Amino acid sequence: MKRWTILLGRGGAILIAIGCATFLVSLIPSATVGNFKGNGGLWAETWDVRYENVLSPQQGLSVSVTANSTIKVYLLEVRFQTIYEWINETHPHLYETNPSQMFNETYLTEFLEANPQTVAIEREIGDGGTNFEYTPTKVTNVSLVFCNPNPSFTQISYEGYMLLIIAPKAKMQILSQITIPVGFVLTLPWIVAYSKTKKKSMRNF
Amino acid sequence: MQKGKGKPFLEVFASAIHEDYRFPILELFVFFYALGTFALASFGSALLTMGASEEAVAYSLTSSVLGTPLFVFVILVFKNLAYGFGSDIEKGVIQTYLSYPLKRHQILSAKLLSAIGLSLLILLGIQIPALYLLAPDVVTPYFVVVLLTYAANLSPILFISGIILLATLMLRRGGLALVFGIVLYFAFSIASSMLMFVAFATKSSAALQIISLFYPSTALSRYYGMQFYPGIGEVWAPTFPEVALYIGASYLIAIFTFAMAYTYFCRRFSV
Repeated sequence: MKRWTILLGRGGAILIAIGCATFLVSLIPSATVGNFKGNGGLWAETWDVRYENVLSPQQGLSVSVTANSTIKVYLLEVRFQTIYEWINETHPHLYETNPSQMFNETYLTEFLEANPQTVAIEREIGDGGTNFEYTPTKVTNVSLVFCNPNPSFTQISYEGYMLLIIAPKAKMQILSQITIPVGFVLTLPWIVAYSKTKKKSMRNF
Repeated sequence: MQKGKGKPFLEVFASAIHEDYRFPILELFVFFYALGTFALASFGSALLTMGASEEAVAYSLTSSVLGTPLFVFVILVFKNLAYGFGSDIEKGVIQTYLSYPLKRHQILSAKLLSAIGLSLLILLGIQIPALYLLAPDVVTPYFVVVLLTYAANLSPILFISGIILLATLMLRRGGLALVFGIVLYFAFSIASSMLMFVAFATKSSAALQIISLFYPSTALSRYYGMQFYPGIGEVWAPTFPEVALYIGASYLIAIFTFAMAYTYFCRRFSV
């Protein structure tokens, strides 16, 4: 058997092994380890944080939100305290004059424009609702922020689950979908050569 | 390498690979390394340590995937060195290699490249991309921390591998050298744990410094503030240059054992 055939074949077998391992990992279901939910409203042109936690790449978040009017939903990779402190530093007299103004939509927009890297997910929902899943790529703080840009009070309802995952399922599936077929193609010449050698030795026997 | 010597070197290397990694040994190890990385990866300690730096998170994640796979790596390397190389000596295969137009150190290098080099390539080649898939924003900015963690954890294994190689060459019996290696590995692990407790009990940093010469991962874990005993942080908190020094020293010790094995094989070893 030619050496390059063996080399390609073993390389292909390694790819199949990697593909099988990642496929097996992708089959492991995620576990729900905690939940949160709430109903309430948001005053006109205000924002609020309704959930915050520290997540790792092995912890995901599944959130569903409904509202009776158009609102913006953000999942920010930052603590509520950080947003609050940023607004406080940028507008130092705001807290002294009117603390409730801290939650004015304008200041959240300013914060997001100055720190666009903190936005993990941004959704605008109308009369219906939205669902999203999020898994961070590092250990990070996350805050679920609702922003009501309307000139009137909006009723919102939200529910979320914290998911425990072993590895990002989608990435694992894509990897196994690539490596297994490529590995199989690479091993083919090796398998053919091996079966020919076997046949020849059987005939000689 | 001199001109024309490449082919015999590759012949010995190919033959060593064929012996060390018969189908499906390599594939099984790749499968378990890949599976083990995802199954064992944990951010638990990073999340528990309030205010842990991102570097510490990268260290903690890398350390978490090294436990069992590192033990599997030890088995593979010890098997290749003691059993593989030992049986080559017993069966007289080495005698055939010595008839090749190659210097003795080249023969040993080809064997070690297969026994240790390829095993290392499999471990790192599987685990680091797997870590990247799991947490790209932890691995990419702190790639040096990831590599440093691997370097700190691999040096004691390389040190014991050097001793096993020397024992295999001297004893000329693979089985015996393998048993010797396993006993040595456990003896070092037990001694390390005992010294760690002594350091904790006597509040003396000297014991931790001695361990760090052979197990630099001890110094690295202290640098990142990982606590194996409560209050150990007050006993010893090494700086980064100190950690680098311990890692360097441990590799110097490992290189010394391999240099001894090379010297023995080139000058004293007779078939």
